[in-house]
Amino acid sequence: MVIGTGGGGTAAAIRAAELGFRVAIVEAGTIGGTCVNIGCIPSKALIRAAKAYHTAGHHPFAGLHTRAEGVDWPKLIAQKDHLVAQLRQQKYIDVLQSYHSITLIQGKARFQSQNEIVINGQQTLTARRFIIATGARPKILPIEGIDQVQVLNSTTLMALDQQPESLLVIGGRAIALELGQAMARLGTRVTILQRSPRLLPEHDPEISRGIEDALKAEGIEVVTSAVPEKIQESDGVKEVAARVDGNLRTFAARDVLMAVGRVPNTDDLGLEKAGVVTDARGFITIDASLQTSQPNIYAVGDVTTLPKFVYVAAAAGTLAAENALTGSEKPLDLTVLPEVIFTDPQIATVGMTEQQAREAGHEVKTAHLPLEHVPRAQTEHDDRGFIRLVADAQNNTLLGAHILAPEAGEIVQTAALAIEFGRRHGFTVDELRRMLFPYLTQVEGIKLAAQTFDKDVAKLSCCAG
Amino acid sequence: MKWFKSKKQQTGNGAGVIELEVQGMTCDGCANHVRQALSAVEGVTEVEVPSYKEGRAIVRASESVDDSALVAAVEQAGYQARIKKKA
Repeated sequence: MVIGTGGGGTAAAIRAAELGFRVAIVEAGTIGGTCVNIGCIPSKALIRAAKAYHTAGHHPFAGLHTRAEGVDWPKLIAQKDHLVAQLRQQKYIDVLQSYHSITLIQGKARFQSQNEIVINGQQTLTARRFIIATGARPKILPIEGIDQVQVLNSTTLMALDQQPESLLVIGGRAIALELGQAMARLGTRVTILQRSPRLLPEHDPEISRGIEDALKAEGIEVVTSAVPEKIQESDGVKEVAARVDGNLRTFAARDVLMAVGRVPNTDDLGLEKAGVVTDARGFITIDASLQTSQPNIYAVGDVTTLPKFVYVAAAAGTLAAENALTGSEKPLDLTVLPEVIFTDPQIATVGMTEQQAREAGHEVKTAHLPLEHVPRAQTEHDDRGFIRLVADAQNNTLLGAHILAPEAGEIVQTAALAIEFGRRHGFTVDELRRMLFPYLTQVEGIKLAAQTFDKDVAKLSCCAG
Repeated sequence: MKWFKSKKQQTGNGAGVIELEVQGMTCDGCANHVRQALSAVEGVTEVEVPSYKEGRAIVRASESVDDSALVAAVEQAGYQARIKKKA
């Protein structure tokens, strides 16, 4: 029995059916879960739309007269909704229905014991194994006044009837930056309030600096070290008082977007009765084979401690079904996990940082190539960003790549492959560098960056290699 | 098992920020030499070299880091450095 029809749950159900088992999959809300309905799909659609509009009004080419003439928000949202509905039907509903051994049950599941689930308080079901894939939802900061003021989260922002005239974004990680920039590009006045001293505090500091500069260059106000304390509303204007470097400052806007993280959907699931343990923040803890503290119950996706990406949830779902039903204990391997943030420029990382590589015992060498050195950036008249590679200085394999570039998301997979082949077959950065890369692509930057690795640390002369 | 705890390094609250003035960087390759040299110093958690043109490096490190080790690392890489600011 699978609880949740998102990326994780659907993958698990399909694998279980393929293995010849009967599957019941339970959904309390909309089929497809977060990604297709309120996450990845709608946000990336809006982000591309915002980029098209932004380019119409701000391109760097001489002699071209284009104009950004206005945004019909309801039309844009309707197109997004249509796309979402189409993909939900094709990728989730139709797929689940194509397996005769999968039964979809609409309702709220709650564990009564480690072996029993009750649906909507009425129907009791039992199964040999359970896979929990209930996902997560946007967190709302419990600041003073929050109960009296309506704030938006990523879900409700993308479902608004009207485009906000101004938007205060509370948060400073992927969702806050992606949606903040998209809204600003579509014409909303945007301010980003980040609690930490920099945006994306877990990323390389030069990535944080690079993206902050890019956002500010587009007219977005970015305030860091800003801790929100109070929120109130008067005359349709929302005001947030935040402590910035010790001083209390007030920020006002018509709407507020709370993008401060997500909380797991584990309330009212009966986990205590099932004997499933969660961590301090409520996320289900699992071992490498995706098994929870209760041997017959597995868990995958955003409801667990796994990294929050749909492709991780799907891989976990498939593996959990195999492990749960065949008795195998195959671990989920996330060593080569590419991560992309769809701001402009995009941010993409895979593998280890220099620090992590050192801590893991590698002798490290790095290459850092500002994007201006990539010919494609010149023809684009857009050289924002850099490509940084981390390699093992002894065996010359690639260990990590950290990229800030307009199409970083496309570039990173080449680095991911190099890392994978490095660890499996000893593929080196020299072999990578000697490969033929097409000219005037952004991915050529990987080859160019690989050319700038230090060959001889003892060589003190500048610009070696 | 990486996803039992945060995969990326969080900047610690106890960490100090040290700004160094660096002389002798004439290209991006130099900036990378300095970045690498500083990252290898024990106690350093983060290094930022905004651009070789700015002649500076910003280091985040634990309280136990030895300032003179930072300067020595940069000098060993072939450049001159002095501590400009400590927070």
